[in-house]
Amino acid sequence: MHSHIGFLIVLLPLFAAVFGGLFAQKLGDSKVMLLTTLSVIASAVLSWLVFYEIAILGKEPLQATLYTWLNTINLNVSFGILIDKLIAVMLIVVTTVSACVHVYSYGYMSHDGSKSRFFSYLSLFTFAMLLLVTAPNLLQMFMGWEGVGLASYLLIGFWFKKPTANAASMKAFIVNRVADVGLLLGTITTFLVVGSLDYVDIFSSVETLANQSFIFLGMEFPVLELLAFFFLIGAMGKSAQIGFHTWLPDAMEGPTPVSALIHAATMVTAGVFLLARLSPIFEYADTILTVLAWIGAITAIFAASIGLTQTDIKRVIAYSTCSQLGYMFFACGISAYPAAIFHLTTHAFFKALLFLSAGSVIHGMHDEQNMFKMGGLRKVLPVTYVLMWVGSLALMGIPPFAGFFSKDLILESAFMTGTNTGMWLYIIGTIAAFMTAFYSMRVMYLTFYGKPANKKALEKAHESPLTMLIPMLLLGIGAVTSGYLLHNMAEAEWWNGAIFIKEGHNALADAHHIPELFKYLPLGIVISAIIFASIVYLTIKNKGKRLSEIFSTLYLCSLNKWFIDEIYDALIVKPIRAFSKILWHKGDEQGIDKFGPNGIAWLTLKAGSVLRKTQTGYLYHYAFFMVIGICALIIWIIRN
Amino acid sequence: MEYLLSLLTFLPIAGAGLILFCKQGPDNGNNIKWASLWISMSVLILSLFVLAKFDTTTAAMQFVELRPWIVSFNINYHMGIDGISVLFIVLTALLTPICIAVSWKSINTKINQYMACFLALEGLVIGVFCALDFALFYVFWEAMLVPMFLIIGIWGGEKRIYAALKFFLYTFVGSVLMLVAMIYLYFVNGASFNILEMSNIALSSSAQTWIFLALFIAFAVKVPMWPFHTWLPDAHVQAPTAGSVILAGILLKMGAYGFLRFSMPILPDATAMFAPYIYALSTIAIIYAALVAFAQTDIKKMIAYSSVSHMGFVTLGIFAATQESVQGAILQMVNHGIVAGALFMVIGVIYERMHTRELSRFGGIVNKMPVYAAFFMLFTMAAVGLPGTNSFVGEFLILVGSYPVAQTYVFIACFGVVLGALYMLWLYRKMIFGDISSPEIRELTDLDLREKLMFIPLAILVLWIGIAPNYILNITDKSVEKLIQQQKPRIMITQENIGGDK
Repeated sequence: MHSHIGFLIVLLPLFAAVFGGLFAQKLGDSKVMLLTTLSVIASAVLSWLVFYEIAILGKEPLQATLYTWLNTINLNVSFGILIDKLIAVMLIVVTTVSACVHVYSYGYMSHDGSKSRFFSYLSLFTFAMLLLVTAPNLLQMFMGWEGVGLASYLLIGFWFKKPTANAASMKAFIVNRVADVGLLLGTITTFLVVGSLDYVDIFSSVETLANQSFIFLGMEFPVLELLAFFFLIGAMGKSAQIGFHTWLPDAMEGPTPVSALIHAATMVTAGVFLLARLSPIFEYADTILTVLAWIGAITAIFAASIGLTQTDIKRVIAYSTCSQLGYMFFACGISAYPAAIFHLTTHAFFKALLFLSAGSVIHGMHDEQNMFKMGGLRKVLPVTYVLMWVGSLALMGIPPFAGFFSKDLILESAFMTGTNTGMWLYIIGTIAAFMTAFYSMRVMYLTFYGKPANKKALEKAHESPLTMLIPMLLLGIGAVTSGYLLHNMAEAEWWNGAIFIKEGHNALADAHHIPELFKYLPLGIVISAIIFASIVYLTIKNKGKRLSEIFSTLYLCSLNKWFIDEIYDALIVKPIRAFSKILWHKGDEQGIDKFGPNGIAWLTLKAGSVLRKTQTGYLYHYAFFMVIGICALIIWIIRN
Repeated sequence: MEYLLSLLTFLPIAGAGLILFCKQGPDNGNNIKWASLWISMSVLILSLFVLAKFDTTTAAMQFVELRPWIVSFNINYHMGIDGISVLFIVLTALLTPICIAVSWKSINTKINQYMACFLALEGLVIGVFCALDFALFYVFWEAMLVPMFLIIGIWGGEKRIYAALKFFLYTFVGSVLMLVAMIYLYFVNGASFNILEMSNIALSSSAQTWIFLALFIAFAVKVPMWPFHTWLPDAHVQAPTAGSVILAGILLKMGAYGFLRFSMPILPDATAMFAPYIYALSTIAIIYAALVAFAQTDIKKMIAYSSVSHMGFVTLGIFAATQESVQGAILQMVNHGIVAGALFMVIGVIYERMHTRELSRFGGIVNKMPVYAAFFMLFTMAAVGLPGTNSFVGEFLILVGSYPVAQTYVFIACFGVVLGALYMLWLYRKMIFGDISSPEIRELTDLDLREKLMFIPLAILVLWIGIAPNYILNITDKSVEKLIQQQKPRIMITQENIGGDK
């Protein structure tokens, strides 16, 4: 396989984005749309080719350099590609979902005024994401990392007339920037201890670094724990883990195809990808692995608990994404990276499907997103209805849908770690699975079943055009089959060294030795959740209202997203604003300026006006002073 | 070849003289503008010629000219450039024609004098970067204050007199101290002003300390470093757009250049001794100025404070004195010249249309000016330091280079990157996004050809340096290597410190 194909995969979307963006007016919307879509489809076809060669035929990883990016005496960073099995998997996920979303956007954005801009942004995003995954070194990865952040910023704020969209896009950028400090520190620390930013060099020096320590801010840390910590912070930002999660639900202000591509299938999984890519570092950082596992588990249950009560269909799915990313994180935390990437893959298909289905509902309902204003849509949107079921079943983890294979693998691995932490993770994961099933059913029932909340809207509602349904159908096939077809990914050996698991970290390897009872327990819990939700939403009147009254405090916490945004606002945003005003007025104006230049000027003026008084101009004043002076002089001479 | 640097320096100055004596009056305004544009364009072409002929394989001075000037004091007309100065000459030559284009419509009074000021300024600044004789350097350094003082004081805003005086006095205090240091160095250098020879003097550490402090104040005011920065926001706000562009783009670089040309080679002991304090001041500047920028409601003041913050990275990189950090700092100076210049132009374009700089008066500009918004977005991202733009490369090199010697400060500086994103995105969002917020904005027209032409070269540079910075890094490579060799090693986190078993 020739490395040119690798470069083509990455650069085609860039070419389309730049060309389409610069010449949008000359080419016109339809040509830009065609150009971007075709180039991403081409990129997807090539990716599948590469996947076939590398992942299925098991050929050698592809590695090539394009040119030297920057070069000083010690530092040398090149642009290039590295495609091993891990990247091959990421490639098909990114390009396939991106191609589907491009086609889908033909229909979804048909009424929008600036289609060229939208498609150029989408292609730009695809390029940045491909740059991120194919990078052979940390700096190029960082470039892609920030590039997807930029594309996400531009696309969340795509409808720039909406103030909420502008606020959301800025929030996404800033929150990610905070986390990126971790990534940046990780990168420069890596350079300091390894002397190179290439993955190859980093991975080969891991073993020697394992026994070394590093002094950071006066404290001594094992160097790999410190590196893992930095990269973990970066990963938490992109993957919206607890603490950094607040930007993701707000990001739903963007057009729905964007939510499907960026905020479900690809960009938010970059954090998980990073953990897997850097598995040689994390494997030697036991403390951080445990922390990582806990962060993932807490995110999984925390986000799911918020998803239970949201009214906006997209927000429910957004919290669900957050929660599923939590599963992937804790899978990494128990060294089951293959399970995490497996879940990443299946999740990309079914979550993109769910978002696109939700988009189809929103499109059909003329931009209505509140589920309580829907209901009874299954007859009007039959195809969407069926596909939404497929997506939901896959999300809940009902066999034989894709989510079952990957999510159960994660829970089984957690159980088989044989530690207390692992046990807890298993329990938390299972409870989160219960919640997942409940809110999934809630979405289905509120949207498609029951009496229509708004009859007029229902009459106007329509099924989506084929350009939207076909990509959904493709993703639907993925959501049904990918779990079974790709179950090889569950084996650590399959990865051919692309993912490193240290000896003694056996959770994944032991996963299939799990006792039958605990293997099927999560499935039973999920089914009970489905039954419970069905009782609540199909038989009891006023739907979930009764339930919310029973658990009113919990309900309010969940509805208000555990008040995290408010806490951040009070603890971080407002103090920064106030502090910056204080620095300006008290520091610059009344401090430096008052005592510095203005103070000196004032002093000069004052001194001048005082001294001027001695210059009276009267001869007898001067004569008087002269006499005094002469007297003083005489006395001084006599004394000596 | 011998006269190239003199030509670069005196061509614009002669042009300024010529223009000053042209016929005054509004009917002649366009001719004057075209004439100055052509003069500055020929300087640009000359400077590119110099860049093309520049030998990147040596750290020695190139294009050297050495002629006696004032023989009784052993003052020579000594010019020459190396990898540290050549980029600033090109940058000056690039920004001046852009400044003239920026002023095309907004300056309608005293056009002759205005253009003459800019051309004279260009020549004098190039002279500063070429001079290898301290006395000659001092002449250029001081003379350059005059046209800048006039530009702010005559063509500035309402409080221009206050701002111009503040600018002049602040810099002048520094210059006087520099004069004292210069005279001292002259005597200990065997009655010679030769800057290159001064690095061979064996100075006692107390002498180094005093000279360092004197020079430090002169240069720190120019950079400007915290807490000598308060002249900058006033000067920027009151200066006409082109004045701000040249101020941010070039004049601020002279201070940092001074550190590289004087403090570090001549006073290596004192530089090493004071380095930790300067890290601290730089880091304060990064965080403090970014926060103050966030509090501003005057958009020009916001960019002015952002300059202080960005220059903090530069001084941090310079004093960390590692190969990467100094190369990064020089690159970042060029980058900041491009990006801050462009941002002041962005502000100027909207000021010419709406005659306000109050943030709350803007909103939804993208609806009427999409091309403008696109350029603004690019420069905003460059200011934020997004990878792919020039600033990222500079910032990254500074951080990665300073990390071994100034770990804590680098750690804090990283948060400056976050704050930088905060105020820039806030500014962009409030100005550009949203629905059309006032009837004035409804009347706006997008960029015309002249305005596009002045942004395009800067936009290309932003991306080109971001994607292929090696061309520029190669230029600075050897000279920086030589500079680093002269330095005393900083307290490093060396392999011994990192090593050791758990």
